[in-house]
Amino acid sequence: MTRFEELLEGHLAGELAPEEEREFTALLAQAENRRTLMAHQTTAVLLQGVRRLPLSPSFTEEVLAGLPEPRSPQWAKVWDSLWAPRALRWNLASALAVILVLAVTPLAWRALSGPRAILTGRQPAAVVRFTLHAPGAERVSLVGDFNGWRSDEILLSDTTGQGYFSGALPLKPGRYAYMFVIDGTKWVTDPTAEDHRDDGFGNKNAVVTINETEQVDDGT
Amino acid sequence: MPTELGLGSDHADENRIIAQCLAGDRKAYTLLVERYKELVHDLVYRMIGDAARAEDIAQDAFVKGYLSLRDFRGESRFSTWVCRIAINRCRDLLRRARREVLMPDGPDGEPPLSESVDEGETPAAALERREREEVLHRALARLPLKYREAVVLRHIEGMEFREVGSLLGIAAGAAKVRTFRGREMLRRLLEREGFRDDAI
Repeated sequence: MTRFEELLEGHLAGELAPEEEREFTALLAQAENRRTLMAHQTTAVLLQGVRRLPLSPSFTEEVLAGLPEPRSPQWAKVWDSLWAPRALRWNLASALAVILVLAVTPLAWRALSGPRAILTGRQPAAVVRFTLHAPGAERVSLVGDFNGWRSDEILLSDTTGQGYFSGALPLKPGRYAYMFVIDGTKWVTDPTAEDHRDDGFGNKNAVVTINETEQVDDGT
Repeated sequence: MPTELGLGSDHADENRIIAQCLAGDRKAYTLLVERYKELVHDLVYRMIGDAARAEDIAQDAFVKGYLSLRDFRGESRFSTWVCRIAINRCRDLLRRARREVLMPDGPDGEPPLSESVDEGETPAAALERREREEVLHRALARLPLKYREAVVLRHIEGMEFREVGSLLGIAAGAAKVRTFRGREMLRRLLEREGFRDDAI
């Protein structure tokens, strides 16, 4: 944009300062600049003379019809209170409470989320039956990767009364280490397991493998 | 023409109306729609060149404006804000259409004419004015979008460069350059249509 064009734009907008107006007038001594001014003035006047199109009489009504229904006063209050900015004031007790919540939440989440390997919904699964012959035992529980090795969660039952404790568990495909716990104290490796691996403490864990295509395995 | 649009309406008054709207008073919004409907509709029409769709888009812009009122910070006027929504809608539409003007109105490709007649305007003068508007409509439709936006906002809707820049997301100086260049292109197009500089 040349200086003349810049001044021309300011002149048409009525924005020139007196000294700029004088500069502009001086530049109009050139015939070419006068022609440009006239052409732009003509075009600007033409544009400013354009009339607005008539609108349909129902324009505003149609806009209002497109607006959502107003909320009830109670809901409006609740909604507004949700969005209203607030200043929080802290004291030592509230700060400690927040710290406590932040510290406990991950632990609570872990405790509540439970074993992920055990299925509860409609997913591809294999139902695995675990059995241990433990004559004289009062209680046998199953522990393993699938339940975070918690010994009070999966109790096997002796339906025969002859010391054969068993239970069925739906599992996702995967490879799981497990053990039995007799009367809450004695850890026993499944003697019929398909595989074993060291548990890092000098004993062997039993291992069960569930393949993707496997649906039911009830014979362990 | 644009000076009667209410662009200079009291800012505090608008903020009060907007507060009423936010409190759930839909009728309060009527005041804003009534105040700016012609501006928004005309702007959209000049952008897309289709009167029927212009009305739909303008109405959509007002509805969207109402739904987003909570985001309105009052840093600009409501008119600027709702025009920005309308312009964005036009840009989307034109981008989708991959053309800068959807279709000329009317059976012969002519724009629908304003029915208003100046007091004391003779039929011949009214006819001449309408012919001028038709030529201008066609010439505007041929301007590249970014120049058309600037020319329409500055000269037809009568906005200041600061406001034009705010609406288009550019500096006031850039709005000035676009307006000048757009008007220069328009002048050449009008010349090809047989307009002379002393034709008015």
